[in-house]
Amino acid sequence: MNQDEIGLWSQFVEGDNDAFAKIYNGYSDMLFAYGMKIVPDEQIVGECIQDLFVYIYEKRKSIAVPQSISAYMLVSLKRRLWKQQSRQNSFVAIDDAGLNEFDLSLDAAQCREKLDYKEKQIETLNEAIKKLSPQQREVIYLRYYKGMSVEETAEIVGVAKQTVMNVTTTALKRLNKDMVDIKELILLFGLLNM
Amino acid sequence: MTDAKVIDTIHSAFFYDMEFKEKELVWDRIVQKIAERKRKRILLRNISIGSLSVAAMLCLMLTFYSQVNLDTLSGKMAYTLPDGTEVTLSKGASLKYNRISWMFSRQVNLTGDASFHVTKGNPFMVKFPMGSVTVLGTRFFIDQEKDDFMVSCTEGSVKVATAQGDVILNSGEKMEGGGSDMKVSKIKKEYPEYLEYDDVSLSEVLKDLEDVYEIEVPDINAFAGQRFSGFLTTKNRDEALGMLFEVCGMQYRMDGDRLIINK
Repeated sequence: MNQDEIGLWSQFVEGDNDAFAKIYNGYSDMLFAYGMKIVPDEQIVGECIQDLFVYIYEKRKSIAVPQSISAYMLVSLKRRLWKQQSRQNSFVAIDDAGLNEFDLSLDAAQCREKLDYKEKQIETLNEAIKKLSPQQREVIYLRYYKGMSVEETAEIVGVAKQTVMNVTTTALKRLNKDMVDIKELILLFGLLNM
Repeated sequence: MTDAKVIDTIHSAFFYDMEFKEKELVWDRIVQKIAERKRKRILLRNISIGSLSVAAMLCLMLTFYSQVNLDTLSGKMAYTLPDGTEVTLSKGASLKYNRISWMFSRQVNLTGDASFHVTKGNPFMVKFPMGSVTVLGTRFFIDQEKDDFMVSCTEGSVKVATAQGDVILNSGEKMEGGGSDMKVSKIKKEYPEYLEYDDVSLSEVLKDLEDVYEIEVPDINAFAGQRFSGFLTTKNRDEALGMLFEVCGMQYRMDGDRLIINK
């Protein structure tokens, strides 16, 4: 946790409501996006975020200062979502490995607009990601898209650091196999269009 | 393609992160829920102190529900208590009593100013933040400021109890308290706007003016021979004195609170 985060959290623990609002403003978007990948239901994710913030506010004095606010909040949200899930559909078994699903796909519009990806490229990348296991997708998302450390990723996913590294390696290998070099594809499509 | 390239591709790509559209709404709900639970906890704490047994809790709930609150939001409000006692609450004042404990003892809690006309019977007690007044069928008035208060008794007698001690007030007496000092004094009479005289000795007239304007007239009986007829205002000292001595054809001057008359 960097100095700013430590400062913010200790202000919050001392009862500074502005710090609490800052934590909400700074982390709720990330929490929502992450939660929607686990349980694609805006209502449930919203409720779980609400409960999580009420909880940390009330227990702020007794919660151990987290190593990383993001990691702590993401893990807590995930647990809440699982609990909610198992309450809602008791027939869905949640295995100990954790995720049943981690809904990760490209934002096609953004990729087209900002990276000039062609439909074919987006499809290829999405297909490659779909072939990963939910846990692999989660690790890839947290480590390479959200820029979390191995430690943070391990905490959120709920596995040992070594496991995170192993999962990362295998995930990258699979992606490598399934993905055609995006840049080459751009070139290829460029040529075909001529 | 190398791992580094894959990582680079993922890092530079845009994944679909759902926008948190209800962010503000959820925040409002969080704030609301925290406030709600705070209130509930306070209430729960209050109840749990008394709830050593179910009976105690029932008792407490009964007490809670039998609480009567009378208050005024604007202007004066007159209420009649179960025993017929009349209470007039001044603006902003509030009075509390318990319907159940009322049957055993007449006791009310007052904040703000109020006047009472108590019916005869058991001791009637008014508690206020700085003390209490116990009465036996009487008229009295309680005036509370931030750190001091005034009790005036206009009929019967009342006992005022404060942290500094007890004082008994008889009819026509008032008491001011607050801090460490307590002062008992006569209630200032309400005067009509004009005093009317028809051939009254000047000494009597001057005695009235002594009361009204809190002045001192030395050797007041020396003016018994002089007579006065007319009206004197009770609102303006100089106007009243000017009028009186003009009619009597006399000169006067004020020396502090002393009225010096030139014969």
